[in-house]
Amino acid sequence: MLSAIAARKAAQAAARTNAESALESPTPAAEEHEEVEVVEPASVVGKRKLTDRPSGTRRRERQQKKKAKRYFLEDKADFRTQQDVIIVKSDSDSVSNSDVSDEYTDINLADEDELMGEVRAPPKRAWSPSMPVLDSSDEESIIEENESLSQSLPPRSLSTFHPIRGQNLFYVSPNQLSSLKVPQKNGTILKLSPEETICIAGTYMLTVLQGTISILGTLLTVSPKPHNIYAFKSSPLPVITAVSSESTLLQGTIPTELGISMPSGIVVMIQELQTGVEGLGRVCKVFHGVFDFARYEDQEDRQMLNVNGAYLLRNLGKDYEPYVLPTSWEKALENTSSTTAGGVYLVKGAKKSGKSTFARTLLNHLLNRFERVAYLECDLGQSEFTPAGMVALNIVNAPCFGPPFTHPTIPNAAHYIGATSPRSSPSHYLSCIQALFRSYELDVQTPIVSNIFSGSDDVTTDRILDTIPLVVNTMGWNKGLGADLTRKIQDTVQPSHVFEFVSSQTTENPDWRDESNQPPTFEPQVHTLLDPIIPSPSNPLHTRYTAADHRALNILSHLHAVLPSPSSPESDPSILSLEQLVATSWRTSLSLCSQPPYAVDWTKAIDRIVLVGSGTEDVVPSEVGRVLNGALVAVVTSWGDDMGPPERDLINPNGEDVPAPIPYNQGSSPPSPTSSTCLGLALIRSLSHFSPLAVPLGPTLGTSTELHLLTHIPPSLLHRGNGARVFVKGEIELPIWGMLDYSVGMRDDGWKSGVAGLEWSRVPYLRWGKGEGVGADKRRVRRNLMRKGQM
Amino acid sequence: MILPRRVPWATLAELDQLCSWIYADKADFDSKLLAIHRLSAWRAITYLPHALESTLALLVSITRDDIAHDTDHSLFLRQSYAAAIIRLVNGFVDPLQLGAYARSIASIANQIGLPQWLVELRHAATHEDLPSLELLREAAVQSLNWLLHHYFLPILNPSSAVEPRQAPLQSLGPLLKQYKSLCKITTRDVSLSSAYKSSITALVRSIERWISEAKVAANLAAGDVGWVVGSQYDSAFSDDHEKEQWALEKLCDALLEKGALVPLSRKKRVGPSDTFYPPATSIQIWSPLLHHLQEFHPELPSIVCGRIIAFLSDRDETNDENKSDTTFETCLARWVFWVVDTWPSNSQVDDRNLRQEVVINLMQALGRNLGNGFRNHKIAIDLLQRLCHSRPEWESPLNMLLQSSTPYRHIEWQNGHMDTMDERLERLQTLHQESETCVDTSSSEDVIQTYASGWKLLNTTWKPCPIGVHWATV
Repeated sequence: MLSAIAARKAAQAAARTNAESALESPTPAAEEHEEVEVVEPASVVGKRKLTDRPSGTRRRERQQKKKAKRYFLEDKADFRTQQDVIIVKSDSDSVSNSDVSDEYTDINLADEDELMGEVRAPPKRAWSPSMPVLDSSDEESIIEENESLSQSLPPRSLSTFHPIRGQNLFYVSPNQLSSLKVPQKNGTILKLSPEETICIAGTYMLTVLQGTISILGTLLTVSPKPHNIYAFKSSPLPVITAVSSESTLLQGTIPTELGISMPSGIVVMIQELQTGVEGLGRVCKVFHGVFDFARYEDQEDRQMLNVNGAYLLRNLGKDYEPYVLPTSWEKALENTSSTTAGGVYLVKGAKKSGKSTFARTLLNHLLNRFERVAYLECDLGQSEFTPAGMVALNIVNAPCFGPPFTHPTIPNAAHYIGATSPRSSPSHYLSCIQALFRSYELDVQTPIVSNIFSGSDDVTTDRILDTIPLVVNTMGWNKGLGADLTRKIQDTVQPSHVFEFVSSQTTENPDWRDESNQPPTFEPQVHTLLDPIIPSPSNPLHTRYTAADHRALNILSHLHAVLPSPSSPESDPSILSLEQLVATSWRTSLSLCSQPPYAVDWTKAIDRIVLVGSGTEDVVPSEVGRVLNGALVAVVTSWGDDMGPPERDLINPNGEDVPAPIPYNQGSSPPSPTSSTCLGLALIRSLSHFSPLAVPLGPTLGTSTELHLLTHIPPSLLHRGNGARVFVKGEIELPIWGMLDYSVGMRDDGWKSGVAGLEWSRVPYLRWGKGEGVGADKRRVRRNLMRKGQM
Repeated sequence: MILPRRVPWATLAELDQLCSWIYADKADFDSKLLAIHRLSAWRAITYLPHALESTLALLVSITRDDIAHDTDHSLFLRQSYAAAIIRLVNGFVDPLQLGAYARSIASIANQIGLPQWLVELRHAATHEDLPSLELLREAAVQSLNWLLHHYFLPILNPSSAVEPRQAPLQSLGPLLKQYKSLCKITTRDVSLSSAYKSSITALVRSIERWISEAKVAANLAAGDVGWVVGSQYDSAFSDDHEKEQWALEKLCDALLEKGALVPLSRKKRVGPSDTFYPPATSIQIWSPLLHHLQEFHPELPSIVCGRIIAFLSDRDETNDENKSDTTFETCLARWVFWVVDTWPSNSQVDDRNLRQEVVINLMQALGRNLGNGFRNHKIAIDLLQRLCHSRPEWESPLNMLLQSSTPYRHIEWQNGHMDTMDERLERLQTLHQESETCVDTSSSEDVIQTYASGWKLLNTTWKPCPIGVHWATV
């Protein structure tokens, strides 16, 4: 696929970052434009650490750099002085970095090329004017360099724990666990001493049997309830750190024949977690390989854990990196530890600064003290629990240890915006958030206690039951209209705590701040400033994926997820349930085109179909079938009057073709957020009266008012109340991967032969190769050209 | 990984129908309206190709104009037309700004054959007085025609499409020559370097701009212009890669001309005797340019080496006037060595790989020509030995190559070979089958579900088919 040249070039691009700090842009003038030099999304080693000095020093540094450049440009005769320049500049930056990287480059040199070829390659050109960037909720199509603050480097060794069977590692069988309330299946017990760390990747259940551990910035204490851990190369890996052994023992005893001396040490148990989530690597092949850790395990550690799908990692690798909790985050989290009064926690900051990661950590942190925590997602581009394109209120009762695609959830309340940014419907976006916040205030904040116990037998909890705090994650679009929207959100939710990521970018452009950061009218009790995360110098896999890649994976993960049915299906949808419905497994043996769909008769099951997004007002009723065929729609339950059954006088312009009109009104507005909730996405795989290519076999009989759709929403949710009778189609499309048939053949590229046994010429909507003719592709926006003045 | 593209039409027949609605009868208002409705629907399905989006905008303006009354304010129509044309031109030209430095819109438009006066009209409509209705109407008609010939016809009927008028790529020679003469002056007299600095920088940028022009030309040569959509993962990636390679190869060809990397004068071609480097003055002249270019084009070193090796191993000797003189080839070989030896020094990771790649290339070239006694054999061997120097891992293949004289035998194709290949494939596939343990945890939970009214789960009667195809139940 990728040539050796490409791989080599990629490696070179990464290695050249040092040189780049001296040479990012050949024109000194480019310095004035932060955005011009931004070019490479990959790791940026050069300038870090500069920022933690006062801005005066920083300015000077920059000037020095300019001078260095000029000097360098003049001195064409001996170009190799460049090396000197770099050393002068970067010695303060990353001496320790180079140590680290040297070491692991040696270890993994053999893997390197192979991996580069196999997984999506990193940016290969130092400069790319037109490499499109699809970023979360943002106006700018430019990857911004994350000039960020210094923080401790990731440890070189991920695991200080050295497993020795019979001494600190024991295998247990289900009957040995019978006296404990933990899941009765084979497991491995690890005994850690304080301060010891162990990094286990893959998927597994983790139960703390004694003591306290810290994982992903969250402290976990003894509990019979296992935590599901998902750790893949696509995000920073969790390192389990033994914190203290002081805690109450778990009820029941660990069998003595294992010889575990319980009074000392921290004891955790690892058990197999079989979910099929790895199958998503087949579905979305850009993520192929992020689930595979086997090759990184040390020889002697193989089989040591004895848990399928869990891998013990000793050292840093080139492709993965551990989760490191920045000091400022740690302090901020500590400050929230004392409160027992709930509260509203708002997280805001620029994109790629770590908002979502921090919000997830905060959520997990709060779950230590509260039985449930609510999470209001305002970031349409990279949602935590739902697919992209919706604002959602989720009520969470178990910490999330994994990237967003590992916990697809039915939101407790949500509204579909239909785009990855609120830019085309800002007021609808705001009213949706207001509606969600209102339901939080009314139904969630102080729940009726009887409500809590329904469906839960875990009464032994010492967590706070009668208050549910709220974490609000905002979008990364923090300029212009985006900043305005975030400010309005802040005014709406009136946070008690605000966590703001301060990027050096904003402090350098005081104009931005003046214009956009008018102080919110409401002042929070606590306003904490946080350091943004820094891009890793080692450029592991997770930094190579774009927001669009993650979005595609997230959508596909939802469509393949298997969700449990709600415990009380008959409840009224307008009353918010506190139950969390999160995916337990993934069904990936069949691709979407092979999964048996639901047949839905739109005359009986659908009240209204709404198109949202700019330009959709122009879709006439006779064309709406075409728009829906193959579309991703949001399934909405509405109890308001605005989305009632269609009026009978819906006109049907060409009655011969359409037996019964699709209930669509041109230009109708989306369901009112106060009287509706979105359950999730569905894929309309086909419409009966609109089948563009011949049906492979058999006559076209059956109901002619039927559409076939795929959805992960449990059927019982679909007919709760009046039923989910409104479909909303937005701009979000099914990722191309979802249209392919990876289950063809056993070879990895089996999908290239066609879809569902049909050759490509009979597959609609997909076209191989480049578009012929001029302008066959989408317009491409670019804003980083150097103009005459800069030349 | 290259994926198919998502297009709004199910089959090309749909696009064909749209095309006939628009172009069949210029006066047919209703069919234009059908086209507008269809395009609006497509727009709601997925991102429209830019040509279609422009078509929609133009059609809306034209149909609106058709039904406009004399009493209507003309400003409305003029703005509608003007916006359509501005966006048309921008949308075609912007994706082709492929370099680091902006090229003029007119020069890009010229390259893709977009009428110049549309570019002028764009300028006028954006920055000057809004053009007159008459002019705009004419522009809209011409734009639609241009789209027919440059978009619809090529895509509907690839073979019969008119070749896009392609402006030939201008020669790089003069630029390189100019660069060389300026650099010569500054290397001879360092005190002049500041005086000439700006003009040299300007030249380097012109060369950079030439590369982006070449990339556009590469696009045209490949028969397409717009670039791949961003949401489609790696496709843009590999494409980009090819175009860039094409452009850089063209650049290297110009550099390999006599008088560029290799001096014209035979006397000056002699390199230093202690190293295998090219002449010092040549290095002084060219290394700044090469380094600068490498900044933006990291694969330049490997392409330079590849081109030189290809040149050295070229057996075609027809146009060579004096075979006894090998100074030119020797000098080129020395450049390869220089590139491998000094270039990647600012990125340690790469050294091994570039050297390895060059060595493999060279060995292959030598191996293919074994026994043929190709002309530059000695030079190539010399270079290879120097590259392999103090690399014990390459000793044995090197020795094998030096000793063996039997040329590579081409194996004749026999029918049996197909069977062998099939057998191997089968073996590989079964291997894969064994390793692939597909976890499907959920097939067992088939609880009787109650479905909402109008919903049912299809099970037995339904057969897999592509998304968008309806399998009807009987």
